[in-house]
Amino acid sequence: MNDIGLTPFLMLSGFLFACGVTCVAVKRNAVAVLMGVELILNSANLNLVAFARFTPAFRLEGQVFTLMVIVLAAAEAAIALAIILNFYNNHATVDVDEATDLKG
Amino acid sequence: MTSLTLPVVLFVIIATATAVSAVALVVERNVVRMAIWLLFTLIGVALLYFLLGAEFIGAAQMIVYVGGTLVLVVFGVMLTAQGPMRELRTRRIEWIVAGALGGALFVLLAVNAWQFSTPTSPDDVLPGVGPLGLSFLGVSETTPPENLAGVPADAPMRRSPVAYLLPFEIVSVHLLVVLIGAAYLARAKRRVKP
Amino acid sequence: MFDWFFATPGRLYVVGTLLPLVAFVGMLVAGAIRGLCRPFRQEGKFLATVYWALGGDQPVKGGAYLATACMALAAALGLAGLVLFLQDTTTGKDHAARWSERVDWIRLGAFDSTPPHIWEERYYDWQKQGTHHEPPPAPPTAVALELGYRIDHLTAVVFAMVTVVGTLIFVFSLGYMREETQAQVEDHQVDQHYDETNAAAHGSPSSPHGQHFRRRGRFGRFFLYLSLFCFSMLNLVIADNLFQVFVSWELVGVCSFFLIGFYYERKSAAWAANKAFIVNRVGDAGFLLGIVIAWTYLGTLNFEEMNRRVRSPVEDSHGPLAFANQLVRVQVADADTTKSESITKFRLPPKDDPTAGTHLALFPLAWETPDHYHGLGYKRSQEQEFLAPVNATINDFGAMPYWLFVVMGLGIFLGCIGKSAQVPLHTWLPDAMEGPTPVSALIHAATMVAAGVYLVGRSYALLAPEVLLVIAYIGAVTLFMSATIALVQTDIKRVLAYSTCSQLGFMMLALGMGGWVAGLLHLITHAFFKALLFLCSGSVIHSCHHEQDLRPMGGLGRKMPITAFTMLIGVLAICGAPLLSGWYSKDMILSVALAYVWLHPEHLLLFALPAVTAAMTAYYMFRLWFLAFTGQPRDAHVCEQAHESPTVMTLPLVVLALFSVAVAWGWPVWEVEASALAHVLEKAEPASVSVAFYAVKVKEHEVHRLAGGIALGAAVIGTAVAFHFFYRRSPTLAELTAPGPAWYTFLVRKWYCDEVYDATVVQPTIQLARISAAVDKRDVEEAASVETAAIAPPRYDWSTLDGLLSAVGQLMSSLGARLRAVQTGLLRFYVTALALTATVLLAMLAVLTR
Repeated sequence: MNDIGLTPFLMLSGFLFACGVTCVAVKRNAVAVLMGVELILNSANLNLVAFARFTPAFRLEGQVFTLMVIVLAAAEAAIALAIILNFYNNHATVDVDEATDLKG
Repeated sequence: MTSLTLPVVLFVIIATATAVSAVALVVERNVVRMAIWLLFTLIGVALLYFLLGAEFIGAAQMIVYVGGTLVLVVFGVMLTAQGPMRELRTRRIEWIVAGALGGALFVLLAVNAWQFSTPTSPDDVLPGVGPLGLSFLGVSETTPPENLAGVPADAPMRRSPVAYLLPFEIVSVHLLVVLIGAAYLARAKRRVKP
Repeated sequence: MFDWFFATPGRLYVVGTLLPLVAFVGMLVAGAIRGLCRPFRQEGKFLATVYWALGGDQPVKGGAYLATACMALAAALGLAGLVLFLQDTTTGKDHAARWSERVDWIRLGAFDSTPPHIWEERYYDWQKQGTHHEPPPAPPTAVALELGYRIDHLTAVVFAMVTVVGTLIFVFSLGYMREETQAQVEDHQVDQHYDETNAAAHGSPSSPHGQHFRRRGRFGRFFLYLSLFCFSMLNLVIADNLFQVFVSWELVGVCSFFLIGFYYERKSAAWAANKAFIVNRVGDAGFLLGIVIAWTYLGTLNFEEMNRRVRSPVEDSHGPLAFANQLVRVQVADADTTKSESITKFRLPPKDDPTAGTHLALFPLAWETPDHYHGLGYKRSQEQEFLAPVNATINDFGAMPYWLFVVMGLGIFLGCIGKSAQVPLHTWLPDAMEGPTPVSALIHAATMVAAGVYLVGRSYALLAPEVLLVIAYIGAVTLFMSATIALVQTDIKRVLAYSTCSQLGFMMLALGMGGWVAGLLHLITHAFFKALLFLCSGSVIHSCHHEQDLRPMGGLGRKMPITAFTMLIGVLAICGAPLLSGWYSKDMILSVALAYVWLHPEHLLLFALPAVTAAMTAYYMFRLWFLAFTGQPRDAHVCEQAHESPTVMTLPLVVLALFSVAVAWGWPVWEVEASALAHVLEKAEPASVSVAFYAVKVKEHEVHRLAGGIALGAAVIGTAVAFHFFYRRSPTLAELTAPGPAWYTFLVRKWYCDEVYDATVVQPTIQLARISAAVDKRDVEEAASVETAAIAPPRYDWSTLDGLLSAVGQLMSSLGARLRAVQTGLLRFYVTALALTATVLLAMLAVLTR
């Protein structure tokens, strides 16, 4: 395992993060934005587990927090979908560019 | 140079697959196909968890994400895709800006990651389901593993008796609240004609 | 329990001080609960029970009895403490440990710093160990506001005086304030006018015409204030530092304010209370200035430490010092600061001109090496030099500009001027007689006004010779001016008030001329006989239905013999009749004055004025007594129902009369210098007095018989004149009320002091306030008032302050309008901005960690 090292995991995590951010920034479909968010969360999780694996002091903590993030991501997805559905019911679209009711 | 051992080979294959899936997710226009690419990405990450030795996390990722969250997302797609699907196109300039931003983020994160030297790590697996579950129940690991690298044999216990009962409870309550909230938000209402 | 007391008997005094506070808090809490329960007095079950149990609508007497009991207990403790203190044979450190304690109140500076006396103990411990491997503990710098008490002979005597006089006045008040126990009190001096305006403000129908103002009795409130006052006064007396004195000083001031304004429906009382409070603030500003200077330069406010800081120690490790207990003036040795900017070198001035020094040397409180240290002196051939760091701590040599030291003394004395009603801040005291008479007796005659004299005595070592001369002259002017005014006053309490001013002037005069014992002895004796005089006048006023004018009275001696007789004793005491307490103190003051003038003939006035005033004192006191008690009633209406007061009021008179006679006695009785009380006070006299006024002290013994003769002769002359005009000729009411010549009017109008102050200070202030208000008025009011519009150009402030504030507001508003475009409401825009921020931050991180 040591022959891989920590860095490749961090690089992959960073790559996933960048992909997630780009996804959120370009997609107009609300569900697609949600998928980008999931991607970002996954990148963070990968980071946590990698550090847990390679840092003796955090062997347990990394996993514990990853589990929490997974659970919270699931909850977040449920809420976000509920919001999207509501939005769709009211506006008959899922285009986030239409959601400008809070414009200043 | 790293030798071409099995973990390295596996990592290269899985990481490439994951990264490719993620990129495909970003460039794909069709939401359903995006969901499929997301599926692949999540599975790839789960496999990396297995590779890192965190079997329980990997399994949880498979079950919760792939089996739960993704299905939820697909439901969302189906529920909002009724009627004529309007093309939601993004302008080219936005693609360029976002892509440049993402690229810059990746480069910077990579630079930062590069500065991390791998800590000398014990070559053993991460704590499995047992200690993890115990820690959630408020019982912490009491004995350090025998062969912690860099730790003298007679070193005192390193881990302070901290356990995760409280976060566990917080997450549980949070989930409950979320479920109720989701049910409330998504309840059937009269649809407004566009 | 008793062990605890006998280990540190000084705690008796702490308990005695806190007892009135206990009474105060108890009454305050009970009153607050009663007030809170009042809305439920009809229906609420438990709350109604509480309300009626705490007295209900009737003013409750229990609190007053509680307060009196607490005060009596404090008096018992004070007397016990005095006896214990006088019998205490311990000396030095043991004595200090038994009779003083101090705790930190607010600490500034190093956390582990300790006061010098604790540090000294630590040093002795270190010395006892004998090993000396480690260096001695560094002298720490304690900069802390402390809470502490220190009992010396002066404190013990004054404490006993305050508690005894206080108790007697509390008992007297039980009788005097009896009518305040009624549920409804009719105030004869407030007509329906107040009631109408008051009622109009409250929207209730006004009372029928011709009725006096009615209100609820305030029996409890009176004793509430008195208790708080006693606590504050006792705290002031036992305090061992200037800051605690200042806090108590303000507390007694505010109690005085409350009690002068006790009948606050009377306009004159409200004005008098305000006047007393504001005039005292003028003095307190000076006091505060003195405290600030002391804190800045001396680094401590503890009396004893301040004294040790400014006065040279008696000896150093090479032997006795020539400057022992003196102020040492020094001058800067070398002007160039090339060596080190943080250290200035000082040296003693040439031996033949000790006043050439521009600075005052400050001495360390604890020597770094107690075995071997140098004081200041002309021991060697070369002029001695010492170094003073700029940031000197209290354990270093230091120096302060001499003029600042003088200003400090003057500042402290200015506070005393205000509190002790000396010229030019004396105008509040006569007006303060608007309060109930027991208040006048306790606060404005016996104790609080003596606090200024007490403080001068306490901080005596801090007063430069120049300041002492100022004190002497202020005292002389005050005693003369007040006595002249008292000659012609017709209000019985005002005569006594001006006489109080005059007697306080005597005390100040004595203190300023080195008669420390004489001044403070007069403080004690005066407290007793002046309280007696005021209580007697209270008894007269009580029986004459609150008639205070002397002119309609007369012949009251037959109707109230006890009052007349005790008052005669008081009058004799204040005139300095032999063998009464006033004789001892006044003789000592006059002999000090004579000795001082003998040695410094240029200050002749300092003896002439008190000698003349001694005659005037006898005149106006006997004038008062003859007018009130002898002859025939000049106005039958006032005197026909006069009667002797109840026992609860006459008993304190008798006790106070006994004290007035015998408090200063010693053996043999006919020797002024044998007075026991004077000998007790002498033990507390600061060592600096004997050093600075050694010649005066020697001379005083030579001339005291002559001075006593002069004083007695003056008193006899004054008495004879009064006897001639007011007893043998017994003037009629018409003669007394007839307008006199110009000098008479001048004195009746009190040298026009009030008028001058009104014209120079009060009116300009009011006019300034009017103009300021006019400038700030808005359009609506301007339109209503043509006059103010003429003074202020329209909307003057609109272009200045208001305009500025509006500009700021408008700027923010337009900025917000611009920035609001940023809030597009587009989710993806936000995410992009967020990502951009994260990127920039990461880039900064990457650059910075390179």
